[in-house]
Formats: sequence, structure tokens, C-alpha cells
Amino acid sequence: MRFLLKVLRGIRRRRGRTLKQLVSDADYHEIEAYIEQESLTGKLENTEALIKAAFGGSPDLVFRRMRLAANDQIEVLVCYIDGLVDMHLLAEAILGPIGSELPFDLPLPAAPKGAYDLLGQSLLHGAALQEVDELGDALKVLSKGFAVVFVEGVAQGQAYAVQGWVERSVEEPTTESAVRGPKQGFVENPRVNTSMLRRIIGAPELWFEELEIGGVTKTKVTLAYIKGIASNDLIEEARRRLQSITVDAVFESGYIEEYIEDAPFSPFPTLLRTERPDKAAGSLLEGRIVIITEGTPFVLIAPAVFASFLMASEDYYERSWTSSFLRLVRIIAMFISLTLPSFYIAITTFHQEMLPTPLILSIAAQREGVPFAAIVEAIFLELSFELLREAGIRLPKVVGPAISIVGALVLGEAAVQAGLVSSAMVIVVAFTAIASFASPIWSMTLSVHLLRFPIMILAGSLGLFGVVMGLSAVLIHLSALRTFGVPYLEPFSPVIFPQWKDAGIRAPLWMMDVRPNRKSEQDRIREEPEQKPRPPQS
Amino acid sequence: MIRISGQHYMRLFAVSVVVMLLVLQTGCWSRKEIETLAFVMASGVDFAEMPNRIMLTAQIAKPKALAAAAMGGSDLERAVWTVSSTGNTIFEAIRHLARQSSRRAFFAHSQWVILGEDVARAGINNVLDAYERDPESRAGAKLAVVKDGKASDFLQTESELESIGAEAYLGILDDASEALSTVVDVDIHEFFKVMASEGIEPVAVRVEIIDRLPDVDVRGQMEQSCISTAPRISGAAVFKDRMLVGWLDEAETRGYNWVRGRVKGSVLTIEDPKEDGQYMTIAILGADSSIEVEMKDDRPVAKVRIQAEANFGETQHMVGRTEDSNLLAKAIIRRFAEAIRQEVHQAIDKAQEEYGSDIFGFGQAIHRKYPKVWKNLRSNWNDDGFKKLNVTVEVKTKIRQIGLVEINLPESR
Amino acid sequence: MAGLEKGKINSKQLFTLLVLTRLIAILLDAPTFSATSIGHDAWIAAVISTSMVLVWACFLVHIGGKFPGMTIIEYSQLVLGPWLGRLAGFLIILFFIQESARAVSVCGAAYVTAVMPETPLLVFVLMITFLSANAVRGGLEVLARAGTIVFGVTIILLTALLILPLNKMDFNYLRPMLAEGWRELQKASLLSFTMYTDYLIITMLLPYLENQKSAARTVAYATLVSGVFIAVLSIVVVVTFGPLISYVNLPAFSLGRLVDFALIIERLEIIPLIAFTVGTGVKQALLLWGVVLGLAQIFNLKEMQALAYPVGLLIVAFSLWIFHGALDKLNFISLRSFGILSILMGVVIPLLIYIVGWIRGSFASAAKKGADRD
Repeated sequence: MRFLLKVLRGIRRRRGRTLKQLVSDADYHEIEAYIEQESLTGKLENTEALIKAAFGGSPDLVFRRMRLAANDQIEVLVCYIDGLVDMHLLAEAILGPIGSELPFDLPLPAAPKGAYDLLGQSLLHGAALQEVDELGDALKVLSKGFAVVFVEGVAQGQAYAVQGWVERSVEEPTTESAVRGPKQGFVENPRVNTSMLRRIIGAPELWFEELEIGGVTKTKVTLAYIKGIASNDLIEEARRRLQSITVDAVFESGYIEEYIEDAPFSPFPTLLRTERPDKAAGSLLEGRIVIITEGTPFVLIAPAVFASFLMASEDYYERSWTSSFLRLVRIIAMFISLTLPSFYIAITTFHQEMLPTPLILSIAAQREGVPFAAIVEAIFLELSFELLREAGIRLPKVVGPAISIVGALVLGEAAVQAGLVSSAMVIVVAFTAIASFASPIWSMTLSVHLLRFPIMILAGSLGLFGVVMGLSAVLIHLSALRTFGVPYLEPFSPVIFPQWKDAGIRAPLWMMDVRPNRKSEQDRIREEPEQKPRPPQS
Repeated sequence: MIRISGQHYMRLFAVSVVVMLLVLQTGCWSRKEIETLAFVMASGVDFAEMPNRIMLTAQIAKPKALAAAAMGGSDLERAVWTVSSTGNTIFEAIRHLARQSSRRAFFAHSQWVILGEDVARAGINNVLDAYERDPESRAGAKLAVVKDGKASDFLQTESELESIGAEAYLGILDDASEALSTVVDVDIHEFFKVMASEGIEPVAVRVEIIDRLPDVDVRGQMEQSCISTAPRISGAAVFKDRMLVGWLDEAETRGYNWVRGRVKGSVLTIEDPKEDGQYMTIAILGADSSIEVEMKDDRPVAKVRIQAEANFGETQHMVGRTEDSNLLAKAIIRRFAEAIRQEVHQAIDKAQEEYGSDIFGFGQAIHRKYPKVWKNLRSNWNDDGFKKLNVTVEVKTKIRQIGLVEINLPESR
Repeated sequence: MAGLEKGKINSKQLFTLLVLTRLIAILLDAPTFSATSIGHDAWIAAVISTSMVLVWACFLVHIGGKFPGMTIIEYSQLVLGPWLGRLAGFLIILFFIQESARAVSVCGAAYVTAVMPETPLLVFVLMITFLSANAVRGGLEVLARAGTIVFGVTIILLTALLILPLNKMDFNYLRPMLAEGWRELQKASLLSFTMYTDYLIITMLLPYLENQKSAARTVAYATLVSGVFIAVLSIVVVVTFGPLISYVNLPAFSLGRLVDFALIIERLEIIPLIAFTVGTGVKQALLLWGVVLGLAQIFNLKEMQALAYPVGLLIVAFSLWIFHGALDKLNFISLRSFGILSILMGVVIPLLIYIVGWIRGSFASAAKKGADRD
């Protein structure tokens, strides 16, 4: 509201003042308002000044005034941002043709308009020609790495895609490494990312929709889906949610996630994020949508049910038995990481009868002289583990080992030696930590870490009853969650048996003949049935 | 579709925080930190001098000593502390332990309930109620009676191999029932179940205190040891109407186990069928049994069927045998069956004549098969019906393995 | 329906909710109350009472089918007239409140008796009720989804409980059959039957079932499956405890107490307790949902969610004074007091509605009304 008022005021004040005055005032909003109003005049001087003003005279903005070699009456202005364009391409496709004779017998344009058309149609050959009518459009494309060509006397400009900036090459995904499977990961460039999906999915039914989100950052956000497999309701819902975002900046897909997720206050993520093109493509083929955000290798996948946070793309490349086993391990690991300290606390302080006698005596022996209650001990150790983990991530790589030495030696060894904590508790916490890293999706790991503490407190005050109550609260919350209209606990609750083939276990691929999709209008058949390999009948 | 607003979540969060704080504030009711507990490993019940009637003895594990032993320190310190207290009832005596123990006596890991002989003879009705009623106590705790002794003395016995007495007793009981079957393995739950059943009387573990031989050190000198007594577990304690009436010795106990189908493994030495004064040992692998009752002339008769399997263990006379080994094997099997039958009769005779206590459950079998007949018999079963019951024993035996050599070895040349 | 509850449940979810409701009614107590009179024949009482419940439940489905899309609160008003109908509905709601309070109080009491004697009953009751009220606020769908997971957990734990004490079982204890005679067995079966009258919640659930045609089948399956579980549980308890079963207070709990694995965990008494706790949560939430929905329908409220916490508090208060300790509970569960009450609420009122409806010819108009709504 305040912003709008200011703009209006600026427009009012602008009357009777020159552009130069405005620039010197350096009131950005006024300039912005001015530019928004201004259309191109055809005067190169004027255009250049305006653009310069809009960028505040930033030195990376380059103007190149040339005369057309074929007709030196015609003045041309090439404008680009240094660093965003590929210099070789620029010279070859734009500056070169302008500065050289016509290659073959083309009628010499006399009028500026004719020359302008000629440039666009025949001479310049940068990709993605885009006509620019407004000054605002020109500014927008400039920041995207286009070179804009103006011709004196023509109130239009041509924008050529000659982008070329230094960027990370396609590398192995660092957060989701796999032993077997493609080693490519998404990169920051959305075009590269869409190309990777295209390369995996050859069918033209792979559709992309591009949106620009972020009033200042103008970030490209691409909605990808396979027409005919993803349900129309889902696509419509995703489109609606994306379009309703009005925010000034989008730096990472996390920004998008926060604006489109179903339950913003839930500790559980309702969107899956991945760095792996194969995983994104797999999700597309299951009828889900993928949201690619410019500037980050992490794409979002929706809807994401609870079970999908226990899956890794490698599950589909390894054999069915081993993959199923690994999923089981992950489920157990998640459960351990959520509850093991709580169970330890509950059993050692409330239900000592549950442990075998030698074990309880050994724990009792270790706890001799430990001054703190088990719950305090556990929270202290868990917190120190979280500290270690966080420090380990943030520290420069060079000093990283120092932390592990200090952590292992000081906290592990010395605390036990000094009798501050019992070694059984150290083992429990260490085991919990290992289990928590077995989860394939980091955001789910963090949620589990977070939930561990309240359950520990409940365990310390009410024993296993407290643990059960805590887990029930989590269960009720999970039951109430939906992700893009899909119940979060699907296919376990509500029970959808056909989908169990790819949830807790991973059935052989030839058994999964139907897509996990409940909308009737979609193409549900994944493959021909009866494809179980058989030895030749001879 | 259910949409949950942010407001809802904030409220939920606020409520959860309040609940959690409340819980933290007040939630230490049932909490017992592990280091505030004294783990009772075994408890014993004796009569005490007036005015209190019951003396409860607890064998409490000392975690500190266990820790020291585990760390490689000296294990000279005793790992258990045996302490007694008195009260009018067991429950009271347990609470009175608090006068001496700095930690709360915790009975959930008490593996043994040991009764002095006089307590058992006076009737255990009032004694065991406390153990079954209290959810803390362990239903799987073994029930034992000390022969000619007090429970408090038995709990002072020590074993060389285990640092905690109760663990040692458990080990002995397990070992003896696997290797010899001359003990009965009875826990409180089992005892209660049998006690409450119609037509069967319970037995309990029989334990004894034996003098411990002094240690002999490397130089052959007698070492003065503070340990003077050791535990011994064998035989069974026979109950009738909730009172101890007597004991079964080892052979009789095995006889009892044959009938109840509880023989897991044992050794039986029989005389060589062909040579007098020579013995053979048979390693029993296991046995099945069943009790069948019939009505004959309006009187019940019982038949015990036993099927036993064994390996041939050892023969003292092994060379120069000339008989057909088939015949020999048959003779061995017959002797083996005969030995079992003798043991069983020994046990049944003792129960019938001396104690008048149907520990085998013949009455139970009648109750199950002839409920109407049982109604007339039940009132005076132990003293009348059981004593007059005619029991026949049928034993089938089988030798499975004879080991690495033949029963007959070739004559030496 | 007036749009109070927008959720729908499918037949699988109805199945799980009903099985839980019936299992929880008896899980910890089974089969003590019938065993005091008929001892080791308790399992026969379980079988007989299951068939009684089956007939009765089919009747409930039948009467629900006569009034499509309506809960018992609504059609009692249609049949008995606005005021008498509201009174009947209110009685049913009171019954639900009492059953809910009883369930949660039994669960809390089990903890106080067996695991944490020093902790006040209020803590257990309050926490369970808070969670179930929370689930009720989410609506029937949330309740059903949570119920499905709880069902899985409960069934797994129960199965473990039934298998683990295998080495302590002696199946000879089942003999002789019918030792106490038919009369005692009939009484015990009737008493068991009265334990399951909170099955009346079917009449509240039916309008929200997606596939109406499957209603009778689902209810029958649920009754049979839970009946099998209850009978097996009774048998296991009998063969494990033998004659002690008449003395043991919480048999399922004591069953766990006997388990001695000697591996990692022994004395698994907490297993039946956990199964019972989460099951109680679901059952209580379901009854609470019925109460809240019924109240909203009686008073023509526009929203029902807001009632969940207040009614929950009411149930907490009620559950604290429903029993004065364990002895009182045993007195209450008898044919004279609880039996009459539950048969009146669960059988007589629906039967009355059915007969009056038949005489007044309300079925046709209700069917027409239902058709109009569709």
C-alpha cells in the first residue's frame, strides 16, 4: 500500500521535471515509475540515458553505438550486460553482421524501419529474437543476458539471446548420491534442467509451463508435467498456487515451497525436493508435477506423500529384494531416530523390569555416579550432537576435522570418563545419529530431529505412556495432513493395496503395471502385464 | 478436504507447550531413576522372632562392584549385599527394608523366591499372595524351599563362577534340568496355577546349603576363604494343601519328571544285561508322557505312558563281546525301560504312601475326562482316592545313536 | 446431514473402526467378568456373544438402511416426533458419553494399577482425551485415517501377545467343556453382549459410508473378525492361566507379564497396554465424534468442531468419578446395573424407533427424502 502511494506521488511529481533531475535525485521508485510509463521513442540518446538511469549507471552495462556498415546513415545501439552474454557469440552473431557488408544482394535499406526489419530478418542471427516495445521489457531482458539492438528512429528494439555466463557444469548430485544410477544432477540453469528431463522423457507429452515469480528477482519457475498422466486437477491446482505467489524475491525452491505447501506449520515437508533428474522424471511418470526454479539445482515434486520420503531412486535400479530390504531398513532407521532415546529414557526410568537382568545391571553400573537424571543426560547429549552436526556443516572444510576430534574426544570420551554421562547413553545417542542419517531425504531427517525432543520430554515424564501419546499426536497430525489433495499417509491410510507394491517394499518392476494414480481420466496403464522374464521353453 | 488454518496450528502449538510444561512440572510421579533402585536379585522368607512374624531377606546386586569387576578391577568385593528385615507381612517387611537400604528395593528383577523350610511347612498361602498381587514382582521367579535351613542362610551362599548368587542358582537349575532332570523347574506362576487346579498338587525347587571346600592355592596350601557355604539344587519339595509335606530325592524327582513329561535330558546307569557288576550309561534325550484314566468298576484306574529316547553313552565292558549286537541292543532297551519304570514307581509310591499328595495330576485327568465322577471324588481325593489309585506304567524306549564305535568292540588280539 | 460432517469413509475404514471399538471394549478385561462365573469356558461365551452382536448389528444396519443418509439422532426425531425424538437422541448421546468415559477410565486405571501406581488417573485420562478431541476436530476422515494405522499397530501387537506365551500354554485346561452348565453360560454370554453395545455408533457412522451397499457386509466382517480375536484371546488366557483366570485382574496384561524372551526385552506387559491405549484413543475419539455430531444435530448447530474440547472435558470429569477404584468397576459390570442400561440404550431404543416407524409409515417418507437429497 505504502509502495503504491509512493509511486503515485512520484508520477505526480514527475511532471515538469527532466529525466536528469530524476536521476540525480536517485529516488529509485520514481525512476521506476517513470520508466514504467515510458515507451520507446526511437531516439538512441534518450534510450541509452533511460536504460543507464534504470540501472543506476552500473558499470557492467555496456552500450555499443555503431553505424550499419551497409548504410552508414543508420545508427544502431547494441546494449548488453557484461558477464551475462557470451562475448564470442555476441561478436559473431550481432556485432559482426552489423559491422560488415551485406553478404548477398539484399536491397539496401534507406529508411530506419527497413534497416530494422532487415536486421531482424536476415542479418543478425542470435537465437530467440524478441521484439521489445516498452522500455520496461528491454530492462527485463537485459538482466536475463539478452543483447538488445535499437535502431535510430525506430521505436522498437530487438532482443537476442546470447547468454553465456560462468556456471557450474553438470555434476554428480552431492546430496543424493547413488551407487548405481545416473551420475547427473540438476544445475542452477533451468534450461539445462528442462533439457535433462527432455532427454530422459522423449515423449512430446512432457509439457513445461514457465512463470516468472519474484517482483525484483524475476525468477523463472517452470511447472513440468506429463499431459495425460498427471491429473488435470493437480495441474490446475499447482498452476493456481504458483500464480498466486506475489513476492519480491525467489532464491531457491524453498521459497516456492513455503508459498505453495499445504500445511505451513507442519514439521513435515509436504513437497519432495530432489537434485536427481531420474527421480524427477520418475515422479513425472507417476503422474506428479515437478517445479523447477531458476538458480537452484533442487526441484520440487508434488504431491509428496509420507512414503515417498523413504524412497531413493536407486531402489528402482537395484534388485527388488535388496531394495525392499533397504526400504525396511530406512523405515526402521526413521523410527529409531525418532524414538530410540525416548524408549531408552522411558525404560530406564520407568520400566526397568523390561530389560533382561544382566543388561539392566550393566546400565545401572554405568550410571553409578552420573549426577543427572537420564532425561537431562539425554537432552544434553542430543543437543551436543545437533551442535556437532551443525558445526560440521557450516565450518570451512579445512577446520572440519577439528570439530570431529573435539566432539569425539571431549564429548564422547571425556564426559564418560568424568562420569558426567553414562556410556550407554552415548551409545544410544550415537546410534540414533547414525539412524537419522540413513534417511534419504534431508528435510525429513530434520523434521524427525525436531520431533525427537518433545517425545523425549514426554518419555522422561510419563514413560512409555508418554512416548505413545507423543507418537499418537504425530499420527493424528499426519492423518490430518494432505499434500495437493492427497492424504499424506497414503497408501497406508487410507489403505490402497495396489500401491503397496511401491511403498513399504519395492515389488519387481514387471509387477507394477498400474500407475499410482486415482483419477479415472488419466492413462493408468504403465506396461503390458505378464512381463515376468522366463527362461526359454525348450 | 480439510483445511487447517495457521491459526489452528498456532493454537495447537500453544496448547502443546502448555501441556508439556505441565507435564514437566508435575510429571515425576512414577519416575525412578535407575541409580535410586536397589535391584533385588532374590528374596527369601523366614519366620522371625516375635513381635514380627516374617523375616524377609533380599539379595541385592551392587552395580558399583559389578562395574569395578567389568573394568578389570579386583572382584574381591562381593557383588551382592544380603540384607534382612522383619514385618508382620511380606509387604510390610519389604517396606521395612527402607530402614537399612539407601535405595528403594526393586523386586522386578528378583529371580528367586526362597522359603525357609519352617515357613513352607507352616503353609505358604499368606506368603505368596504378595508376590502375585504386586505388579512389580516377576511371575517367572523360581520358587524354592531350603531343605533343613533358613532362606537367609541360603542367600548367603556363593558360587565360584557367578558374582551374583541368584544368577548362579539359575545357572545350576538350568544346567541340572538339561543334563540331569533331577530337579523341578517351577516358577511362581506355575506353582500358583497348579495350586489352583483341581486334582493336582504343586511341587517346588528343593535347595540345600552345603559346606564349601576350602580353596587350595598353587602352593598346595589351604587358603582361608570368607566363603563358607555353597548352594546345591536337586530334588523337589512336595506340597499338599498349601503346606510342605516332604521331599523327593533325585531319583524320585526324575520319576516325577518322567510322569509329567519334563525330562529334557539325563543320564541313566544300568547294569550290563550280560555281565554282572558291569555298568552302562545311557544319555537320555527327552521323553513324552501321557496320563490316561479309565473307569473300572466305578473306580478310576490310571495308566502312565512314557516314551523315552536316548543315546548310548558309555559301556564299561566293551571288548571281547560275542553276542549278536541286535539281541544286546534289545536287552539294553529293556533294561533302560525297566530303570525308568522303577523310578516312576518309586516316586508314585512315595507320593501315595508317604505324602498323600497327588503331584502328578491323576485327579486332574479324571476331572477332565469324567467331570461328574470327579464331583464325588474331589473332596477327599488326596487322602483317599489318590492313595488307593491303581497306577500302571508303560514305558517305551528307543536308542538313537550309539556314538562313534559299535556297542561290541572286537576282541583284542 | 446438514453438512456438519463433510468427510466420507470407505468400507475398509469402517471395518477398522468397528473392529477397534469392539476389541477395546474387552481387551484388558477379557475374559475376567465372564470367567468369574464360568471359568475356562469363557471363550464359548465370547463365541455366543459374537453371534448375538452379529444379529443385533445387522438389525442396526437394516434400520439405518430404512433412513438413508440419516443418523439415529435424526431419524429418531423423524419417527418419534421432535421432542420425544430429541429425548431419545439425548439418551443415546449420554450413553456414548458414559461409554467413552468408561473406556478411557479403564485404560487409565490399567496404567495406575499395573505400571505407574504413583501417577494420578487424571493425567492418563486427560492426555488421551485431549488427543482424541484433537482428532475429532479434524473430522471423521482424520479419525478414520489415524484409526487405520492404529488398527495395524494393535493387530500386530495383539498377535504377538497371543503367540509369544506359547511355551506357557497348556491346552488341556480347556477341558472339561461346559463345566458350569448352560445357565451360567447364557448369563455370561449376555453379559459379554452388553459389553459391546457401544457398537451402536454404527447408526451414527452409516450415513458417512461411501459405498452404502457394502454396509451390512462390512459390519458383519468386522463383528466376525473381532469375535475371532476375542475368542482366541480368551482361549489363550485360559490355556495360559488355567484355573487362575478367575483370580487374575487384567489377564491380557498379565499375559505380557509372563513373556520371558531373555533376548532384548522381557516382560512385555507394556505391549497389550500400548495396543490398548492407542485403541482406546481411537474408540474414544469415535464415540466423542458421535456425541459431538449428535449434539450438533439435536440443537441444529451449524458447526460441530467447536464442541470437541468442551465435551472432551466433560468426559474427563465423568471418567474420574464413574468408578471409585477397581472394586467398583467389578460391581458395575454386571447384568443388574450395566447390563440393563446398555440393553435399554443399545437394543430397546433402536427397536422402539423401528417399530414406531413401521407403524407410522415413516420409512417411505424417509426413503423419499433420501432420494430427494441425492
